[in-house]
Amino acid sequence: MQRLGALIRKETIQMLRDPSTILVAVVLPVILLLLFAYAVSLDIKNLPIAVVRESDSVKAQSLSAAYSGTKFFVVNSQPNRQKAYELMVRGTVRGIVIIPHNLDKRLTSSNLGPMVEIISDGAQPNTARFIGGAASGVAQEWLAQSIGSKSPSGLFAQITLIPRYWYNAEIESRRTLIPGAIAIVMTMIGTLLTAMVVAREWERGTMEAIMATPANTIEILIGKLLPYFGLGMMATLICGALATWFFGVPLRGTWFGIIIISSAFLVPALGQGLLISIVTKNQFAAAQLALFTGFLPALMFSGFLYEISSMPLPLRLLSQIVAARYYVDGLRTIFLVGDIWKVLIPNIGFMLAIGAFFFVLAWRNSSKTLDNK
Amino acid sequence: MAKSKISPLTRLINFLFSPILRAQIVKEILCTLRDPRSRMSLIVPPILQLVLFSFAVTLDVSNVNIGVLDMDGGRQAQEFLTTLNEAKFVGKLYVVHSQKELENQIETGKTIASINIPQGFSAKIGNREPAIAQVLIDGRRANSGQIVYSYIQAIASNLGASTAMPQGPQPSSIRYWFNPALIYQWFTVPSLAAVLVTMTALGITSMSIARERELGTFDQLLVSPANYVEIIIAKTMPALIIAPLMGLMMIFAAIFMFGVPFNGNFPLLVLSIYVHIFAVVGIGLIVSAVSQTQQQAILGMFTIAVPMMLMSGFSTPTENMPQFMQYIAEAIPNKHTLLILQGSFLKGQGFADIFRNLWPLLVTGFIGLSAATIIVRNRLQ
Amino acid sequence: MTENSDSSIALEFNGLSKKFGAIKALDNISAQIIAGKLTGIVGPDGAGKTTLLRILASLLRADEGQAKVAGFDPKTQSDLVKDNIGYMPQRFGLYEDLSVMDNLVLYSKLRKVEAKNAKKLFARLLDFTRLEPFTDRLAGKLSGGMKQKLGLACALMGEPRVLLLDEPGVGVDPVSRQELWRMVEALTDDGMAVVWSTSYLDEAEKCASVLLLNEGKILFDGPPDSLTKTLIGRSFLIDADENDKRAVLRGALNLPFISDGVIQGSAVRAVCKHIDDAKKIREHCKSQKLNLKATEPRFEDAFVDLLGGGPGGHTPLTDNFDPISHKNEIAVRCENLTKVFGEFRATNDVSFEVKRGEIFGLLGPNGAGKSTTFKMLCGLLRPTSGIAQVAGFDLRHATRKAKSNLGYMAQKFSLYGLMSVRQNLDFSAGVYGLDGALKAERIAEMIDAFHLKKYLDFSPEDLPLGYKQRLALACSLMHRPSVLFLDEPTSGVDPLTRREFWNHINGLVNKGVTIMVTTHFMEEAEYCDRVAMMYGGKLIALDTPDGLKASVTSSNLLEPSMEQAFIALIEQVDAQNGGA
Repeated sequence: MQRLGALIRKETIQMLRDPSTILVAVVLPVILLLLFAYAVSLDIKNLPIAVVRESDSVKAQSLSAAYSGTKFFVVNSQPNRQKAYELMVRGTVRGIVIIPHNLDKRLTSSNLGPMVEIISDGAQPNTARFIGGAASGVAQEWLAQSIGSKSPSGLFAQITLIPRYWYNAEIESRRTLIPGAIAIVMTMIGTLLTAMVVAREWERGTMEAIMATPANTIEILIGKLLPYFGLGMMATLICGALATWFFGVPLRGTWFGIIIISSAFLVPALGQGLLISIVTKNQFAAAQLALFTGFLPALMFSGFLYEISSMPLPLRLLSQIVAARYYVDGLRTIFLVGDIWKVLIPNIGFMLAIGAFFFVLAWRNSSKTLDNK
Repeated sequence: MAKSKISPLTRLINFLFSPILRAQIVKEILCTLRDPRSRMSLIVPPILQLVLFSFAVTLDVSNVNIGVLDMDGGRQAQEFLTTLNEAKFVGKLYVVHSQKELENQIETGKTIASINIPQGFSAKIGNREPAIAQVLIDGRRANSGQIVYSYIQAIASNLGASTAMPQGPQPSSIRYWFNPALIYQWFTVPSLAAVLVTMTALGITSMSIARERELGTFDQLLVSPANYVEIIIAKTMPALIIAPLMGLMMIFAAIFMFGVPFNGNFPLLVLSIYVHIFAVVGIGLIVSAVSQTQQQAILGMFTIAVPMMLMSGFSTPTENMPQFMQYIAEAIPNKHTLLILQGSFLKGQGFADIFRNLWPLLVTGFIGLSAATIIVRNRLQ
Repeated sequence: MTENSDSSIALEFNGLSKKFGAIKALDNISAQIIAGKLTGIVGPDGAGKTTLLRILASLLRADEGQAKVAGFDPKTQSDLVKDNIGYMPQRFGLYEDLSVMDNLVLYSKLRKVEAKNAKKLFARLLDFTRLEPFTDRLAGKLSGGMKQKLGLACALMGEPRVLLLDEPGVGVDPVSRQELWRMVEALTDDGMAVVWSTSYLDEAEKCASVLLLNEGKILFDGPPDSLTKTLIGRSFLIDADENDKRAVLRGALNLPFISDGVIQGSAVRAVCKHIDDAKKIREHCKSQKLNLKATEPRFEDAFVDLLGGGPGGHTPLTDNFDPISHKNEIAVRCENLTKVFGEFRATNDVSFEVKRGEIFGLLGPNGAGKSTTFKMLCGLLRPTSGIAQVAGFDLRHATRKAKSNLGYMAQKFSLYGLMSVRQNLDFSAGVYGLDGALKAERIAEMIDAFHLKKYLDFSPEDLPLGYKQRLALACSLMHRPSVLFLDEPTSGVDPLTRREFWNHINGLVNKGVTIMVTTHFMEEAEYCDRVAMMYGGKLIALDTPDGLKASVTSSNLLEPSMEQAFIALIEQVDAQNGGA
C-alpha cells in the first residue's frame, strides 16, 4: 500500500507539471464543448436559397414572402432562373425555389404543373433533403392557408402528425452532442495520454529503474493508471459542469450516475491505452495507434454523430467493441432522461467486459523482464 | 542584355536544385518513408478507413425500430402500417397494446420513434377529413429522430394525397440537382478522402521539426550552410509528395469503387489537392515549430485538428455557425476543399468557380509557412 | 538467509548464456563476487556488461545457467532478489520532472523504508551525496554529476546488500566522478558488495577485483594488479615536447612491434607487443635520437594488450586532404562572451583565441558552460553580449560560404536513425553543397577511411557505438572544414575506439585543421595543445596541459596527473569563493 501510494503520488506530480496534460484535460474539453455548443449543430437554419419569382401577382408575392419569413432560409432573390442556376453551381445558394409566371392559373388546376418548383443542391445530401422538405412544407402551409380560408376541407384528407420529442422537446442538437464530446475527451485522456505517458517511461529508461525495485507489476500499473483515472474524472466533471451550467444541457439524472458510468468507461479506455503502450513502447507509434484505434472509432462508431443502426452489418458488429458507444448512450440517458438503470447497467456491463479484455491482453504482454523489449 | 535576362532564371534553377536543398529533400523523404513499418502505418490505415468510414458516415437513417400502438384498427390505419413496415428506413415494427409499453420501448432505446394511432383515424381519412396521429420521438437521438419523423410524415402525406380528388393544385415538385437520388456516399467519400489526407499531412509535418529537436539533429542542421527557408521548404516535401498521391488513390477509389460521378476538370482537381496540402502543411509546420517535444507536437496537432474537422462542414453545414466562427472557418483548408471536391465531382465547376475556393488555401499556406520560418528563426535563443 | 560471514560470496553465477537473435551477448560465463569489495566490470562496447547486470537484477532472464544474488535466484525468486539489491541503470532512472526530494521519497516508499527511519536516512544520503542544498530542484535541472549522485542515493534506499551500477561515470566530470568513487568505497567498507561497470580504465584499476568481458566471454577475473603485472617490462615513455608529441606518437604507432601508444603529458607512452620487443624499441629510439625510459605498466596497457592492441598510427582519412593554409592565423575568437538564461549566467565574460591548426580543449565540470560557449561559437545560441567568431565570421549571420568552414559533431552524435549509413553520408555531403563526382569521391573516401563498408545499409541506431562515432565524424568532415567542433566526442566510448578517434584527429591537425573539443576524459586533454578550464561559467585557467599541471604542482602534489590538476584548479576556485 505504501509503495502504491508513492507511485500514485509521483505520477500525479508529473501529470500536473506537464503543460500538455493541462492542454488535453482542460483546454481541449472547453474548446470542444464550445464548438459543440455553438459551431457544430445539426439543427438546420439560415440556409441560403435563391427565390426566382417569375410572376408579379399578389399571390406570387405572398408566397415569396412566406419563404423569407421562415428561420430555415436566408432568401436571395434572383430575377431569372439562369442567374439562380449559376449561383447554385458556384455554391452560393443551396437551393432554388421557382415561383412560375402562371402561378395564379396553376392554383386552380392540377394539369399545369406544380405551383412551386424546388431545386435542391444534392452535393450535400442531408442538407439537400432538408431543403426539399422544408421548402415544400412552406408551399403546402401557404396553400393550406390561402385555400383553407375559403373551404375548410374536402380536397384530400390531411393527415397531421403531432411530433413529441421526448427528453429534448426543443430538439437542440447540442444536448445530444455534448455527451459525445465528453466521450471524445475521455478517450483522449484515457487512451491517448495514457499510452503516451507509459511509452515515455520506456523511452526514458525510468521503467527499468522502477522494475528493479521490489514494486510488483500490479502496483506499477495501478500507480500509473489511477492518477489518469482521476484526471479523466476531473475532466468529466468539468465538462458536465460546463454543459449544465453554461450550455443549458439539462441534467435529469444525478452526478452520481455520471460518476458511475464515467468510471466504467475509464476501465476500457485506460486498458486500451496501457495495452498500446506495452505493445509499442515508443511515443510516436503509441500516438498513431491510439489515434486509429481509440480516437477515430470513438468519433465514428459511438453513435454520437452517425446513427449506428444505419450502418451495414459488419460495421454494426464492429461498433459492439467500441466502448465509447455504450458510454455515449449511457451519458445521454443520464443527462436527458435520468438514471435509468435498465439502460445503464447493460452499458456498464459491456464496458467492463471490454475493459477486462484489454487488461487481460495487457497483462499477458507485460512480463516483468525486459526480454521483449 | 541577354545575360542579365537569363540570370534570374538561372538563379531560380540553381536555387530550386541546389545540392543543399536537394540533400535535405531526400533526407526528409527517406526519414518519412524508408522504414517499411512506418510506410505501412502511414498509408494503410487511411485507405482502410476510407472504406470503413464511407459506410459508417451517413446522416441517412435506415434500419431503425419503430413502435406502433394502433387503437383504430381500420383499413387506412392498416395501410399506413403496412407502408411503414415496407419502408426501407424501418428495421422492425413493434406492435404494442398500451401507451405504457410504447413509452417503455422509447425509454430503453428499443425504438427510436413510436406512433400512436387514435380511434377514428381510418374513418376520418375515408371522409377526407383532417386526421391526427401522435408520434413520440427519442430526443436523445434528436437528429436521427428528426429524419425518421420526416420519413413518417412523407408516408402519411402520401397516404392523405392518395385520397385526393383529381382537380386540386399540386403544391410543389422537388428535384435534387447533381445527386438526383441523394446517394450519401457521393458526398461522403470525397469529403472523407479530404479528412484523411489532411490528417496524414498534419501528422507528418507536425512531428518533423519536433522530432529533430528531440533527437538533436536539428542543431546539426542549423550549423550547416542550409538556411531557414530551405529547411522549411524541405520539410514540406514529404507531405507534399505522399498526401496528394494518397488523395489521388482515394479519388480513384471514389470514382471506380464507389461510383461517384466525376463531372469536373481533373487537372484542376489535382492542382487543388496540391494547394490544399500546401495549406495544411503550413498549419502543421507551425505546430511543429512551436513544439519542443514530440508529445507536445502530437497533442498540439490534435487540439488543432479536431476543431478543424468539426468546423469544416464535413459533419454539419457551416452556414449555421455563428458569424465569427464562420470567419475563423475561412482559414480552415478543409472548408474550402470540401466545396472544391463537391464542385469538381458533382457540379462540374470550371476554373472561375474553383478559384473562389482556391485562393484562401493559398493565403493560409503562405501565412503558415512564413510563420513557421519566422518561429524557427526566432527560437534561436 | 545466509549470514554475512567474512569474505562471503554475495553474488555468483555459473554458465550464464544469453542470446539476442543470432548475437551471443553472454557466452557461458561464471564468476563469484565477494561482499565488502568493489568489483569492476570492464570491456569494450558490446561486450555484454549491461546484459550481465540486467540478468543479475532479474530484469532479464538468462537462457542458460544459474545465478545467485544475495543468496537468491533471480530467475525464480525475483521478488527476494529485488528486496536485496540496489540497481542503477545506464540511463539514470530518475524522473526528471520530479524534484530531488520527490525522487528520494518515491524510492524510499518503493523500497518500504519505514517512515520514521526515512527522515534520518534522507539526511544521511543527502549529506553523503552533498545534494542537501538542491532538494527542491527538479532532477532534470541537475548537472550530469549530480544526477548520478541522486541516482546512487535512490539505489541505496533500503540498504541493499548488493549494489549494481551500470556505467555510473559516463558523462560525469572528474570532480563528481571522484566523489561518486569515494561514496562507493565507503559503502564497500560497510560490507556491501558493489558491482561497477565502466569503460574508464583508471576506475577499473582502482577496483579490488575486475571482470574483463569481451564478446560475451570473461577474459580476465581477478585483482587488476595481477593483470597489470603481466606487462612488466613492456611499457615505456618516450620524451617529446609540446610541439612534436603527436608526430612522435604517430611514428611510434607505425612501428610493427608496438601494440599501443598514447600521449601522456609531454611524453608518449608506448607498449611493446612482446617482452622481447623491448630491445627493438630501444634501438629505434636511439636511431631517432629520442629519449626513452621504462615505466610501470598501467591497467590500461594490459587491457588494450589483452584485446589485441590498439590501432596503428596512420589514418587514410587525411591522405587526400589539402593542407589548409595558415594565412589567417586566428581561427576562433571569443571576446567577453556572455550568455544569460534568466538569472543564470551560463557563460560569463569568456575571452580566448585559437590559432589555426591547434587542438583547443575546453574542460570543466558538468554545467560549467562549455556547451553553451560551443553553441554560441557555432551560431546555435545568440550571445547576450560579447563576440563569438569562427574564421572571422559571426556564424549567426554568416553566409553559406562561412558556414562551410565549420564542422560540428554533437554530443549524442546526432545521426538520422531513420536513414541508412550511406544515406546519412549522402545527406551530410549534400547539405554542405557537395555535388556530382566530388560528392561521390568524398563519400567513398570516408567509407574507406572509417571502414564503413559492411555497415552501409544499416541504420546508425543499430551500429556499435564506436562505428556510430566514426560515422558522426565522417559526416562532419565530408566538406573538409577548416575548424572542427567536437562536443564530448568520446563519451561512453571504449578505450580502443577512443585511440582510433584521436588518430584521426591527429591526422587532421597535421593538415592544419583547427580542433575545438570538450571532454571529460583527462587523458584526452593531454592530446590538446592548449586547454581552457571553465567553472561556473568563467574561464579559470588557460594553458598548455603541462602548464596547467605545473601551475598546481606543490609539495604534496609533485607530479600531478591531468585529473589531479583539474580537481586542484576547481578546489582553488572554491577555496577563493569560500574565503571571499
